[in-house]
Amino acid sequence: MIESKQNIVLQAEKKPGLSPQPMADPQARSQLADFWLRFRKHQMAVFGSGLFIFLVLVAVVGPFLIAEPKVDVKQMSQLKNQPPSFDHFFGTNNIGLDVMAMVVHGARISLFLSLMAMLVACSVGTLFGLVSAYFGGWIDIVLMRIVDIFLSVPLLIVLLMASRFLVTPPPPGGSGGKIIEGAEIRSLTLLPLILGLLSWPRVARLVRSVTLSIKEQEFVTGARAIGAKNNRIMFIHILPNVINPVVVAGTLLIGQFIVLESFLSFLGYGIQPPLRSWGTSLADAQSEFSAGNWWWAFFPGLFILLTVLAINFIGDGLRDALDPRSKQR
Amino acid sequence: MTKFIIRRILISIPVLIGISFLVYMLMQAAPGGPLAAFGLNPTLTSEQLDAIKKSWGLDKGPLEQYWSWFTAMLRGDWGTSFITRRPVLDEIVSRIPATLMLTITAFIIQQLIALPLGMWSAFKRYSFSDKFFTALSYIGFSTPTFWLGILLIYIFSANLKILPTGGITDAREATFNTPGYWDWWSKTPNEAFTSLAGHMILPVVTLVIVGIATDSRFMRSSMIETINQDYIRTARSKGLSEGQIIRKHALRPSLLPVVTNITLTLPTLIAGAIVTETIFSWPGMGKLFIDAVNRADYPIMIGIVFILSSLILIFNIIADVSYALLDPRIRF
Repeated sequence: MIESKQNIVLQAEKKPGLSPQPMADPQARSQLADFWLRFRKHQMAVFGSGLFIFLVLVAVVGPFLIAEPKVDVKQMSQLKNQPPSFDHFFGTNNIGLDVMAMVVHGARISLFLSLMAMLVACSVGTLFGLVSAYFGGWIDIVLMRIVDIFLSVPLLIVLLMASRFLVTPPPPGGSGGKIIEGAEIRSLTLLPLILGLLSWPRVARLVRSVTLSIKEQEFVTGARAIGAKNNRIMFIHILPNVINPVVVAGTLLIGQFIVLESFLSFLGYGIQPPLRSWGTSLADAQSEFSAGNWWWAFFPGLFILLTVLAINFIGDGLRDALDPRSKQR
Repeated sequence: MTKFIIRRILISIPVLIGISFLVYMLMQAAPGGPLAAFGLNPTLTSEQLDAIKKSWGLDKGPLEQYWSWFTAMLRGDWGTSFITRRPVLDEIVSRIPATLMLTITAFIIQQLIALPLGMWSAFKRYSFSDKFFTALSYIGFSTPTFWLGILLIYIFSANLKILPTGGITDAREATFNTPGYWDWWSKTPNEAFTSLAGHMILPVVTLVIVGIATDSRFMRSSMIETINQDYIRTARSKGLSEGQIIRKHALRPSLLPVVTNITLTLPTLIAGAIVTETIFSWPGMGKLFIDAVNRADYPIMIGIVFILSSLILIFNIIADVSYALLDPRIRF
């Protein structure tokens, strides 16, 4: 991947001077155009991107079009538990809230939170992976043991333990967690941090393995020979070459985080009311199994599924486009 | 080989100690410890609270607490649950049958469907049915397990009313894994079996649907890699039928990475069952863990983490060793 890219870049830089029509040469495509050409061939990825753009629009524009779900005490008895209809496309819940409004207003937090968590995981992971591989020796051994430790505990288990920072557990025999003051703000800022800080090791291991091969290449030796400092070599010379696999891994992480967030919120450990995410909407739905109003649980979950599906497609497309030598599934 | 195994075990020990230390500190640092519940009780004096603290070992600093837990654990004493006051190991062992019953049943069904499906997809690569299963499996592994569980409960329990919403026995039946429960099995095995099977259907289906998606994809890619090898082309040019090629040449090498992958995922199945067990209130280890987290039951929490992490490390070593034993191309 790396050499071929550099070849393309080198030739792209050389060619304009040599030939009158540089664009006619397929080798002369810019990296971005080259990427786009490969990405476009992946039908699923293009479909996934379209779906994802739609979901982002729902999250960003939707709340301006559809009013925030509010309890209407006077009309509650008429509004509650309605199946999907033209008035309420996704039906209403047991206190008369419109499920579509719940989904639209939950989208923002679900997507934003996963994106933030991904950024935390990728930046910490990339930093640790780079440092570990670049310096090697004791630093590498210690950092990789830490990574081993993280990877040997099921993520969900630690996540559940760490999420106690958001809510205090209910008393023995009692139900419903005691909510810490300002819990909703706390959950919004701490949850992405917790998710990110618990999942960086996978990124670190990936970055380390790529860095190990890159740091042996001539251009790194060259940079060292002209007296570049370690920091400069790591961040200016090596980092751009490891970014591609990180982008792929990061994309797939977003999907995982959306599911993890919704499960935590579902258990009452994630996003705290009055904030709303897809997971909290599902949590409400669990309380009324017997009523049989399936639409209440179906639509928030469907949006989780669609988002994760879109992200998985995009991730696969990115892998093929950014890393053409990687094994295809 | 023996040297390799010993070295791997020796490396695993500091990792395991590191896990238990970090998790212990994380557990201690979280607000609302096990005593938070007593804060709501107005009749409790501060002297009584101190006494409880002391008897639970919570009056010492976190490092000291860890050390006393660690040394006791090495002697085989895993502490007692703060809630039930029963030894941690007894609590965990009593939950193992339910978890294993659920995960093993799901696991077997899942492999029986996923492996043939994956092989078939590989041989019919890019055909309509392969594309259809590919699309299905994408949807399968994008589906949140807990949502699938909720939907199944809505459909089969709430609306159709043909299956129970959760639990392992009905309320009028004996509690699972008590002497009364096993009496029931020995007296009326048919009735007990029907009840158990009925309770198991929904959680097993939930686990299986998501599991098939990933495992069949893995089998498919492994099989595709195998049939691209030269010796398969040779077999084909000899004029062997597709069935003979699969049975004699492709099956064994393509199963190799699959077996290793299965070994690696076995311990995570138990952790993965947390989600299913919560949705279906299945009285297994996952439920025990969630309940322990809810009530800040430190000894149970750390006990489960320690067992699961040890399992993961052990299965990592088994996977490496089995790979080397099965594949003559790999040497240490």
